Amino acid sequence: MTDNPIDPEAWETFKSMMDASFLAEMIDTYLSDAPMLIEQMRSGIASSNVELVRRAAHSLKSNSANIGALRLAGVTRELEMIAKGGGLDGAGPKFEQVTAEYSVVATALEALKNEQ
Amino acid sequence: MNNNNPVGNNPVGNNPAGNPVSNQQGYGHFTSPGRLLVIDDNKVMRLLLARGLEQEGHSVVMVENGKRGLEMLRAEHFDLVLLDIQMPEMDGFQVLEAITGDKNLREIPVIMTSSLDEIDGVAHCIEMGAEDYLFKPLNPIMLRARIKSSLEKKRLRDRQKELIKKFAASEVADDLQDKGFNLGGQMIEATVMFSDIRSFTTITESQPAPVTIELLNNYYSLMFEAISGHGGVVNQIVGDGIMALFGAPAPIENPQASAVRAALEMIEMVEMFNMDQASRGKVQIKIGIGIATGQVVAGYTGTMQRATYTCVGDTVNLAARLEAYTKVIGQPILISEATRNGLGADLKVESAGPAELKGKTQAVNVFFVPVG
Repeated sequence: MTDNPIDPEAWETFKSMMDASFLAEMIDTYLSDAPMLIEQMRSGIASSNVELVRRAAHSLKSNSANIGALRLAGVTRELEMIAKGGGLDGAGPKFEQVTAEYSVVATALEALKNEQ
Repeated sequence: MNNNNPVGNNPVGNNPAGNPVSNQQGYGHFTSPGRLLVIDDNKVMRLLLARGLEQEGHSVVMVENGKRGLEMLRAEHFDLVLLDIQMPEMDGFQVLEAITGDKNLREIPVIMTSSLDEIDGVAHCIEMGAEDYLFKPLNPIMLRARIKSSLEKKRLRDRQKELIKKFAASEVADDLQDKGFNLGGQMIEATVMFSDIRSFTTITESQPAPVTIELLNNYYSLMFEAISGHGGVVNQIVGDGIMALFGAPAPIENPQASAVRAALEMIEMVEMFNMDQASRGKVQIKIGIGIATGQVVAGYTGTMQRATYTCVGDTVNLAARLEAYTKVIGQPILISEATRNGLGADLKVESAGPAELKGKTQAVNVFFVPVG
């Protein structure tokens, strides 16, 4: 999974749980939820609200893992773990990694949706 | 219904032919549909769970927090709850605590959903009374298997409870009403019966789980009818075993003869059951019954919240040993000497000689009731 932001095996599992129209709906839900969660992380880091960061990261991690975006799930998990530790040391750079990876994932998901 | 969710408003049980999930074969049978509540603050998760479950034919209601989940559980009937651990305001632990602490809700099985990171929390939930767990990301096969098994267990429990209520609880309830709730015990004279299915483990292993459950439920219905028809009370069912009492909690006329007549009817019922099973190409069963009579320590055991009427003591042990001994001598109904002494001339009994029974220091005179 070096280059592919969506792990093919996890994606197949995800796909097997639904038909095509619902798959498109799930992708849309994911793509509309994720920016809100990312915004929550950003504002949580800015206002030192550790709990907000932890919760948003937790949700994005779990959504990403479900949809097969395992690399994004991994970096988001690292951010969640930072917040879980009670502080936000290193949260800024980790958050940058999350946003960068998310934009790659979003593009890939759009493409996958159009393929279906 | 939660009007905010598109999936929850779909008609129930639409499983369009040719969808990918229904094409996956080989992991078991279709579970009869249940009404499930998904409590998860994460919309993607909610939709995904609901979709997976609706494809299995279940009816699904989704709520986004623990507080609404509890409100929903108290207002409507559900067969099973899928509960997220990490949620704002009221988290999964608090919801689970509220469910297990509520006598109207505690029988509803709860499956925890969590990420692998939360394994300690999951273990804690199992200790608190959660039925099972599922890790995210969801694996559709595990989802199906866990839901199926939890629903089946719940249905068996419901059915057993219903049967006990129907046949046993009336006497126990009367007794409670008359004498008040008293955890103290007393010695009474009673006839105790143990019955179980021979080689049940082999049977269980040789057929799919739903078939076993159906078999057990049919079997219980027949046995309960035979027992209660002769004035007995089914006191316990454990696995495929039944413990019944004659003459306790309420005295009956001639408990020994009643128990033996019930046993004969049980054997007849099993023969009929076997004919029906054979005609449908299903597995046949054999049962063994042990009956003993004497003093038993009877009373309510448990706590004020949850108590059962039970009998313990030598007579109870002897009945259990006799039941086990049916395997040794190949006779389905074995009775103790005190039981035989209470029978009239109309019931035929033959001696099986003295037997060395497990847990008894001296050989015991055993009698068998010929059948067929």
